[in-house]
Formats: sequence, structure tokens, C-alpha cells
Amino acid sequence: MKKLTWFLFFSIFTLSCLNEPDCYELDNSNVILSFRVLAAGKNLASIADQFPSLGILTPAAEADTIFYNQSYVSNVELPLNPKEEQTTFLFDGGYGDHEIQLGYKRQVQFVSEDCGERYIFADLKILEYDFDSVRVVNPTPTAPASTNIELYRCPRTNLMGIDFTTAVVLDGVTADFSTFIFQPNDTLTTIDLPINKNTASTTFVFNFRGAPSKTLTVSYTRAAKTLNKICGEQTLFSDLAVVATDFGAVELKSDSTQDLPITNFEITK
Amino acid sequence: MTAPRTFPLQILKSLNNIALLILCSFTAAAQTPDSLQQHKFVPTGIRFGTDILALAKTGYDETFDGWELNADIDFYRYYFAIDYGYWARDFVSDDGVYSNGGDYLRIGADVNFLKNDPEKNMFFFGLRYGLSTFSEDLTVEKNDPVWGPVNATLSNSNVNAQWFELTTGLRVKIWKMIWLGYTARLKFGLSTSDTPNMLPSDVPGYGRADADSYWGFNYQIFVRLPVRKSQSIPLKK
Repeated sequence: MKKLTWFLFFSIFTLSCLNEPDCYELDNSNVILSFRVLAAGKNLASIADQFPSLGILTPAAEADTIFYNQSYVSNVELPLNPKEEQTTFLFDGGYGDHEIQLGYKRQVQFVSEDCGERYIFADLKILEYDFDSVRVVNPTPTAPASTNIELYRCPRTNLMGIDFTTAVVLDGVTADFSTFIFQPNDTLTTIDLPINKNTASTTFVFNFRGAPSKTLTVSYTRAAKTLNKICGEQTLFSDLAVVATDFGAVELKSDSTQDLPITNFEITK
Repeated sequence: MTAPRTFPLQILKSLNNIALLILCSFTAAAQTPDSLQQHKFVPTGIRFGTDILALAKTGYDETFDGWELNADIDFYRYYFAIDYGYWARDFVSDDGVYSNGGDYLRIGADVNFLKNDPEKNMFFFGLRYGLSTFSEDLTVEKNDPVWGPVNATLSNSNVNAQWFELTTGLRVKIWKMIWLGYTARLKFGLSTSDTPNMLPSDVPGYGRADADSYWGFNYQIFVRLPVRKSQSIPLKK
């Protein structure tokens, strides 16, 4: 009887080896798009970007679907449309809107009663785009997702970095020329401000919540230079200096701008 | 002449001996040098069988309908084996309905490590090459939180699939011409013909198509028809 028990145990053990599918991460329907900044030198040498996203939309999705609303992102994970063989994404960015249309092959596979079906995506291609440059890194989406596409932009050379010694609550910052100022949160300790490449100085007004506004005027030297063939000639800024301010103290930390922005001035309110 | 033993007792005794046969097989594999054996690669019998598990599963599992026939023929300690079967699946998930059906064939060989057993009991390892032709249908109806309603009806017709199997198992004589046994299968190397719209889900004879390897298990009953009297092989003293 003991041997019979072992035989049954062995049989049941073998049966137990029959796989049941794991429903976790069956689809590879998400792609990761990485934002990069074209650096000086040969084409497509780059550094990771912080994209100021006001929202990413896709026209085929449900009306209220917005991804990455009001945040800095270095990469975004976005779903591919299983109903079509292409998906368009519209990027509402702080310094301009962009669009990319991705094409791909898709197949369906039934997995199990518990898991249902899954969609398998492959052969990712870029059909259209208006970024400065793009590149497919991995044409096969994976689960979990990894970087599939890199989106490049030319350096924004006119962004000046401001640090506050203590957190401030801002209703907004305005400049003396027409430009967009990205403010990710009301309460912040750092903000990037664009300076005017057409004039030798720029004045900013900081509107603090529940406190008087303050102004800051900075001067700089401009020089034209080609950093990258794709981007052509760009204006570089140096010799930054404070011309006038009513802040308690403004300390110069770096006298030239960079992309990604570094701290140029530290302000004590 | 001794009185014949009753059928149930014979079965029980044979089942009790199966575990022992596994142990014996390892020593049997090494016991008799080839020079002492009189190899006769002439078949002594054909065994026909069926998979009891497939028949039982057809009865109790509403998602499965299938059967399998097995046959093997001996050439000394080597057995040419062939399996032919049919299976169909019907699955209903929260957002879809899947069904398939098709035939499959496996051909291959087993090596019996109980080569001196006078009753042709087997503890074997073997290889199979599997083939299947099947069709499948999938209807998807779901509401995706991002993309809204997703409705699709897809089908694959006459898909060809092939794979390989490593097998092991037992065959034990139960009573006169009746053998019982099981076959455990490690299936691998699945490839299918091109299916542009839908990836195959369940391949008859193989199982889940998204698995790189897959286990299978048959519990079988056989009838052995002797075609030639087996020559006894003297055991080494």
C-alpha cells in the first residue's frame, strides 16, 4: 500500500507541473518614450531631458484621458491602441506642442478563462513626428515596458535657473517679453526662467501668494554658436549679472546658462 | 497447475509493484552486457491503447473534448510509438469567447530500461515528434478604460503546428493482454504556421502556445496483441 501511495504521489506531482498562466503583465501594449536633449558634438549624442508636460493626449482615446498632466518627466509610458495599427500622441509641452505617430503590428492571443486575451505588439515604427529628431531604440514593446523610442530636442540655451533659499508660494512669474514660464507647482524652491535673446537684459516679476510682488532684472552677454548640426546656430548666454532687484539678497551661482538648466542665482526673499 | 488469480488482486499487486519497477529499472539498465544477449530486432507484439485521462476529462471538464489512441511495437528493447488524437477547447472569459479543435499525431521511439522483463513491462524514456492541424476562433468584447469598446472576431483556419517531446513512463502488465501505464511528456520547440491576425492559443496535442515548454500527462490502458512468441533471454548469473 505504501508503494501505491508513492505511485499516486508521483502521478499527482507530475500533474501539478501543468502550467497555469500568470495573468500579470500579459500585454506588451505600453511603450516608453524618453526625452533627450541633443548635446554639442556629433549627431544624436544626448543627455536625458526633463520634459515640462502639461498633458499628453491621444485622439483615439476616451475624451477624458490625459497622461502626465502638469509634471516634469524624463520618459513617459503610454499605451498603444489595440483597435488600430497606429497611435498618435499629442504632447502639450511647456515650451511648445509636439506630435508623434507610431505604427506597429498587433496580434491577439487568448490566454485563459481567468486572464482573457492579450495583445502582442511588434515592429514599432515612427510614421510622423515634429520633434527635432527621433530614434527607435527597441521596436518590440516589452512587459514590463522599457525604452522604445527616444525623442530629441535642441538645447534651450536661454533658461536661467533660480533657487529660493526657502520654499515660496507663487501665483506666477511674468517676464518683460512674450514667453512661456513653466511652473510645475504653486509651492516651489526652484524655477527655470527664460531670458530674452533679443535684448541684453530681462526683467521678471514674481507674484507671491499673500505677499508683495518682487522684481529681478538680469543682464547678460549673447553669442551665436553652432552646437549641433541638427539645431543650427543658437544664442548662448554668459556674464549673467543682477542689474536691479527688491529681493532681500540675490547671489550669483553661475554666470552662464546651460541645458539642462543649472542654478544661476540663489534668492533670499 | 495453479488457480488463476482474480482480476482486482492482480491489478492491485501490479500497481504496488510499479514504484519498485522504477528502482529496478536503474539497475536493470546496467545489468547485462550486450555480448550476453541474443538481440532479436523482430517485433513480438503490438500494443494498442487509449488515454483514460482524456476520456475522463471529456466527461467532467466542460471546456475539453478529446480522445487519444496510442500504439507501440517492440524491436528488442526499442519501441516505435505512435499517438493520434483529437482535442477541442471552449473557454469563456470575462471579455471573450475562445474555441478551437484539431487533430494531432505524435511519432517517436521509446527505450525500455526493463529489457529483460519477461512480461514486457516497461520503464522507458523516449522522444516524439508532434504534428497538429487545428482551427480556432476568438471573439473579444470588452470596454478598455483608455480606448473604449474593443470588439473583434478573429479566426485561424488549418494552422499547422509541430513540436518535440521528451517522454518517460511506465507500462505494467495487469492481466493477460491488458497493460496499464502512464506517459509524462516534456513538450518543447513549438512552431506554427503564420497566423497574421491572431496568435495561436491552444495547440491540440501540445497545450498553451505561449509556453516555451509544457508538461503533458497520459494515463493509459493498452491491449497487447502478440505477433510472435517472445524469446526468453537468459539472465546473467
